[in-house]
Amino acid sequence: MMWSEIITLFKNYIGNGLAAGLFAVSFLYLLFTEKDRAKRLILLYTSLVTAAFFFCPLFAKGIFRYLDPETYYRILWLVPMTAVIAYAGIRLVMGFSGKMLKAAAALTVCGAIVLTGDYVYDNPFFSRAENRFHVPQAVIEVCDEIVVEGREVRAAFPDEMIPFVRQYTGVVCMPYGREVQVERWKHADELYDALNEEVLDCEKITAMAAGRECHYIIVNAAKKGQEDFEKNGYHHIKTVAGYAIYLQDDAHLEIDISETAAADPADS
Amino acid sequence: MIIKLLMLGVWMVLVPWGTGYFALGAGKRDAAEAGYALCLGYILMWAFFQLIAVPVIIKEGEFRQIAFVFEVISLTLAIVGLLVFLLHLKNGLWKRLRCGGKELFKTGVTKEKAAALFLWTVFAAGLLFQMLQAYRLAYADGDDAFYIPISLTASQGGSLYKSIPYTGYQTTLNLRYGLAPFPIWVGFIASKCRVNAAVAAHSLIPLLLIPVTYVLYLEIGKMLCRGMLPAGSEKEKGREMVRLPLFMIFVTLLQIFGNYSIYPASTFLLTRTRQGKAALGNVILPFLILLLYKMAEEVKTRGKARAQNVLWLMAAMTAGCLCSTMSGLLCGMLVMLTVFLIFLLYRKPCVLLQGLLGCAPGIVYALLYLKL
Repeated sequence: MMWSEIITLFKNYIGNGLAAGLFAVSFLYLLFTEKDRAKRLILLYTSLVTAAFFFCPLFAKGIFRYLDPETYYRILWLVPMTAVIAYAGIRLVMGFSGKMLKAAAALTVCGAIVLTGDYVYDNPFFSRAENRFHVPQAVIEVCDEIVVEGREVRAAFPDEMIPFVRQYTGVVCMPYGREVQVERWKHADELYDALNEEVLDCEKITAMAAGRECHYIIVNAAKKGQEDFEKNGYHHIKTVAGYAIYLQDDAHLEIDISETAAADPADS
Repeated sequence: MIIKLLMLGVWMVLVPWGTGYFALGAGKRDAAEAGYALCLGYILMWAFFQLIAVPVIIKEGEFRQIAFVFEVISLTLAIVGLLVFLLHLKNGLWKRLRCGGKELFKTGVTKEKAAALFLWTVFAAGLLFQMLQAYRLAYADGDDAFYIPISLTASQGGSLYKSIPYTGYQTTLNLRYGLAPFPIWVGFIASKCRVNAAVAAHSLIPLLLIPVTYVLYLEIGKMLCRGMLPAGSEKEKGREMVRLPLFMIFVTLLQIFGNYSIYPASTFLLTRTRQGKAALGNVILPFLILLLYKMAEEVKTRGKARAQNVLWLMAAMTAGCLCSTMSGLLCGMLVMLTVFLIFLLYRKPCVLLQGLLGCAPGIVYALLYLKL
């Protein structure tokens, strides 16, 4: 059981295995060509012993007892992959005589790194930053609209906004946070589920939101069924960046609601 | 904006560099290496922050107490470091730098010099590209929803780990997180630069932590590329010029194309630079490799490692604990494995003791972590 977990972690770590292959080739090249004992020790022997520990089920069992098994892969950070590959590359290039051959070897090493690796900026989690906060602009606009100077407010946000709200401001609190989005943490939340239904059940949502002291409910303005919020103790104050903001009728946040609503005639 | 960048320069360049320069150059007539001083400065700065922050967090103190003590200590060390540097300049460093510069231009443009200049330019372009991408691209990582609110609450509200970062509900201190207060350091940088912690974490800190990683690899490269041919030979001089920039180009490519999965340290460097675990994988661990290599060489030549390096080892372990609670295990394992191999290779039992001493802070924090 332990062995299969280690292998799964290792496979996940190395991805398609090409970069690990390049490391293995570099390792073997240095093993046969490098004579300096200190360099062999730091680059090769330490890597070898670290790998031996990583694959040892007894060691893994001990670590799993105290640490999150999901972070076990970080043992592999002790293998100086970058230094080994770069240094092996230098040795290879400098081993050639003649400038043209050296240049060709250097280009080959660069090509090998590029072809066996994966371009980091292709990662789908990267997107063009909308501002210096690196938080969606809609989150900023909604938060700016609901904050009240000198106090905290609580708001229920839709799924896509949850991770960013409290990165932008500490004075907007939420009834649930990112923990409800991570499936393996099994942290169910009825209000979160109800707010992310395709058709909103306003009665249910407002009852739960009021019970958890939410001053605001934020919903995507395009969502169906939000008309009934008005009948259940929350009223629409503004639509910002495609999100409708509903304020609890008896929130007592000391803001002039009529003025806020009048500021955006497009909402009516 | 200029003042904010200036403050960022003070707290992320001047303070670590001054501290590192003071640690390396005090009491010596000769100048310390600028790159190594910066790397060591980061380690010392983080170690001091950890030593100041953890007791305050345990005592349920406030952010301003940490900020005040840390500010006084680091500014004092940085100013003393700068004074030491000025003293070195006066005592001949300036003359040597000028002569070195003249020498470089006097010999005219050789093929090796042109090649080296070209390679350094390629490397600089690669580094600049990564810094630019760090500023203009946002990487959506769920863990930020935990770390950045901690920084934000500390820098704006002053409280330390007293609310649940995800929701803002009040809570009691969970020391498992409090023992690795890297987000509080991010909060400190944000408060000094007078920006929101999200701006500091996402847009500003990567602009300096990415170059710091490269400075570390530059130092590692210097050590590895040294002495590949007999020193002093003409052939060697020519080769030396191109070897280091080429090494750095390989390192740059390995980082940019290091996203073969979400787990390697290289991916963390360019995607989650602002998180403590990225600092652990890309600053602390490479620094330990550099330090252990220096220690191995010292054991080979002197029979034991210098006491100063054992002290830096302890500082690196402490700084590692600031970054991640897993650091005690990772750094301790790296150090003990390596010193054991050094012992096997050179038969010097003293190095085992030195390694163990270096690991002491990590052991203390690991015990605290396990007990909690």
